[in-house]
Formats: sequence, structure tokens, C-alpha cells
Amino acid sequence: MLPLSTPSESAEAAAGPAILLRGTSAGLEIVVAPDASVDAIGDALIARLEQSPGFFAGNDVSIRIDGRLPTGALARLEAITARYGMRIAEVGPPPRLRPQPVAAEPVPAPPAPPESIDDVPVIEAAPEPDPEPQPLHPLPIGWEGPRVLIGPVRSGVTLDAAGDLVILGDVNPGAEINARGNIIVLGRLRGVAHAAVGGERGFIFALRLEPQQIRIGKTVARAGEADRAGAGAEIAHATGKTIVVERYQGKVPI
Amino acid sequence: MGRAIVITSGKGGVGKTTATANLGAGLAQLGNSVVLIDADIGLRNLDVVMGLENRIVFHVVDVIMGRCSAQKALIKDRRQENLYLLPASQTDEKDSVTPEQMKTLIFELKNVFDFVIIDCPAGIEQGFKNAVAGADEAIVVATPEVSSIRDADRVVGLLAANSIPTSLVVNRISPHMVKRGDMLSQADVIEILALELLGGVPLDEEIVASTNRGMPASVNGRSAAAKAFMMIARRIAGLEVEAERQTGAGFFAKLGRALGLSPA
Repeated sequence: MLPLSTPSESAEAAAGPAILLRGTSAGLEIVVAPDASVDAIGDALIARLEQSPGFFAGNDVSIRIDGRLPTGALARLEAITARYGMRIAEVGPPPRLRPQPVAAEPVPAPPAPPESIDDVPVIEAAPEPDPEPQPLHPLPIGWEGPRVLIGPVRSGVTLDAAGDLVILGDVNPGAEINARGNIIVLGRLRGVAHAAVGGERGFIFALRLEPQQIRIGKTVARAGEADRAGAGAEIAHATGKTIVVERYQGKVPI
Repeated sequence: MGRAIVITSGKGGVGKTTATANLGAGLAQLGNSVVLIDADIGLRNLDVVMGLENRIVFHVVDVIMGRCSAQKALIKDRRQENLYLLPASQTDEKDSVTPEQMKTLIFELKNVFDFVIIDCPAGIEQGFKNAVAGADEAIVVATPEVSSIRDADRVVGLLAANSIPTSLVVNRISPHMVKRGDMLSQADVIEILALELLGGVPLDEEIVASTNRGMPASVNGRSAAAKAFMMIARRIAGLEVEAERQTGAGFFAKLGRALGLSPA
């Protein structure tokens, strides 16, 4: 039997309950103490499952043991879990003791909050050197606040904003602007705009809304064939599965 | 020190080479010393438009590679004393010169000439990078077509990234088509590209004829397009220019249509 990595955990395991039921990102796990007997394991599991019978029904469960299950334990565990509607999917060592390729499931570190406005990821994603880095002036406001950019945003330029995006000027055909928040174009929107990237609710406002395509969340709308001459300021928002464009009447219609 | 101006467009076939020849000839006629550089290496044709193709011995790649002096490669125009052409090579690749080398060459030429006009190849790849490398200013040529404007918009963005001041020439405007609503007007083009307008050139058969004759139209100055090119040349040279009377009100007729979505 392999020793546990830290003496304290080893002591805890020996002194603690024979099993531990826990939910992980990978699913439900039964952690079995390394030196528990078959009976101890069985009794402890029944005791635990009796606390909330039926709650775990239909779930797959993994057995985690640092070492090998005592003889007969697996059959006992299968019988008990089956009685409670569960199915044993896997038996293996705890994740930290698994072989490296499996153990090294990378958990992406959450991005550190930007320290200044300069760190806000408004990225010029165009493969070409960014055609217009110069005239864009970020305002010194909170990092989740709107990003204000001076247009025109020309063909071939892609802008990505972490929050709301405000463009003073036109967004020309062939340009693409994306924002996790809402998009406000104080000019003509003639390119492609995607609001609420990764979300669902959001709006796109433009003084002249003549886009090639607008996307809000996962919903996509493209320009109709007809000319939209004469329309004033308009706002597009998503209602369920469709994008609705309406005349702007001084408020956000959602 | 002279001024280096690149004539570019992104899209091909909109009249870069024609504009280069006519504006060069126009500037020379106004008394400036002018050299035209054909930066379209591998696909030279400025020499044809200028009617100088049979005089080429050395070309721009020869000069850059040090195979001959710039003086030897320069071809004097047939009619104008102070107009010269530095032709492109027809056999080399676009990447046989670097932006740095172009910069050096154009700097040297600026010491001698009042104007260095660079005819840029279509596209935004190596040839474009070479052509704009040494330029102080850029003139974007666009025709009133959605495809041309789309590409011009992209190029204007790239020029802005290189901090090159850019102005606009709208080429091949057909007043009749604009009146009928079948063509974007000059005003429409300016509105979307948001650039300072140097001038508009009407669609004119005379340009095709003069191109085939190998004689820039602006030298004669009789046709409408020739007059328009001459006016743009005056404007480049910083001379007073009268209001664009020959273009007429039809050019500026507001269509009130959505540009990006209109079926032009």
C-alpha cells in the first residue's frame, strides 16, 4: 500500500470515516480510506447514502482509493450503489496520484484582473499590423466600463471589447466589432457587430443601423435586401431566438 | 527636398497607373521636376501608358541591386523635359526588393526631384509594403463601386497605421449613371471613406484612347478627364483651384441611399 503524500492526510484518513462521498468537477466520487475493511466501507457508504436516499440515483460514480480495494470490496460497493440507483464508472487512485498525463488536467487559471486600463483586453485581432491603433483613445474608467473608440473603423479591422463598446464614428463594411457587453455606434454601423459575446442578453445601438450582419449572443441576423433609407437611430436586441430592431425611443427596450 | 506620393487603391483596375501617368505629366507641365516609379515589379505597365516601353534598358531592381546608377535607369519623357520614369522589372519577383531599399532609393530621388510619384501594385502584400515604404503622402484611387470602396477602405486603414497622410481621387464617375441612381456619387464615396477629396475624374473614352496611344491625356488637356487630372495636379502642387464647375451638380446629387447595402 502506497503511503499518502502527506502525513496529516494519512492520519486523517486512518482516523476519519472509511468513505467520503463528494462531488467534483469530474462527477461524483467515493473516496475510500486506504486501510478500511470491506465491512467498514460498506457500512459507511450505506450510512452516507441513507442520509439522502434517491438523491444520487442515476449518477455515475467513481471510486477513488489510494492503493487497492480490499478483496470483495468492489462487489460490495457495486451492490450498494446499484441499490441506490448509481453505477460505478471507474475505480482509480485519487487524481493527485494518477500518472502525469492524466493528473495534469490543466485548470486554466482565471485571468488576473487588469491593473490598469491599459491591460483591458481590447485586442486588435487582425493578422495584419493594426491599421488604426493611433486614433483610438481609451477613457480612464473602470475596466468593465465601456470602451470608447474613435472611428472610422475600417474594413479589415477587428475590435474585441471585454465590456461595452462605444464607437464614435462609422463602422465600415468589412470591419468586425465584438463586445462581451453592448455595442453603441454613434455613427453608421455598416460592418459586422456582435454584442453579448458568450452571453445572451445585450443590445446594439447605432445612429444608422445598416449592418452586414448583427449578432447578439448566439443569435444572428443579416441585413435584408431592401434599402433601409431614412431610418433614424435604431436599437437591436435579442428576444429569445430572434433579433428585433426597433426605432430608438430614448430607452433600452429590454 | 521633394515630396514622395504613392498612388494606391487596394483593388486592381481602378486607374492607379493611369492616374500616376496623368498626374505626373500634369505636375511636370506645371513646371515641377517629376519622376514616376513603377513599383509593380513583375507586372510593369506604367512604361506602356507613358509610351516609353521601347527605351527601357535598366529598371528599378537594377538600381536597388547596384547594377547601375539611378541616373542610367531613368527614362526621360518623350515630350516633357522635366518628367522621368523609373520602370519596374518584368522578370523579378515582388520580394526581390525590401521596403528599406525602396525607402533609400526614394530618399535619394527626393533630393533631385520635386515630386516622386510611386505607382503601387494592387493588393496589400509585399508590393504594397514596398511601394508605401518611402512615401510621405498617399493618394487613394477609388471608383464608385462597392468592391473598389471596400478595398480602398482597407488600404486607408493600413496607410493610417503607417502614419501616411492620405487623400482621395474618385475615378470613372459616370454622371448619367449617378443621375439615374445606378452609380454611387462622389459624395457617397467620400462619405464612406472619410478622406479629403483631391478631385473626381469622369468616365471618359479619351482616357482609354490616350492610354493606348501611350500619351497621358492630361498633357493635351481637352477632354473632361484630362481637365480633371490637371485640376488634381494643380491641387497637389498647392495651386489655387477653381470650384469644380465642369463636374456639374449631378455629381453631388444626394441619393440618400444606404451605401453599404445598395445594389450598385
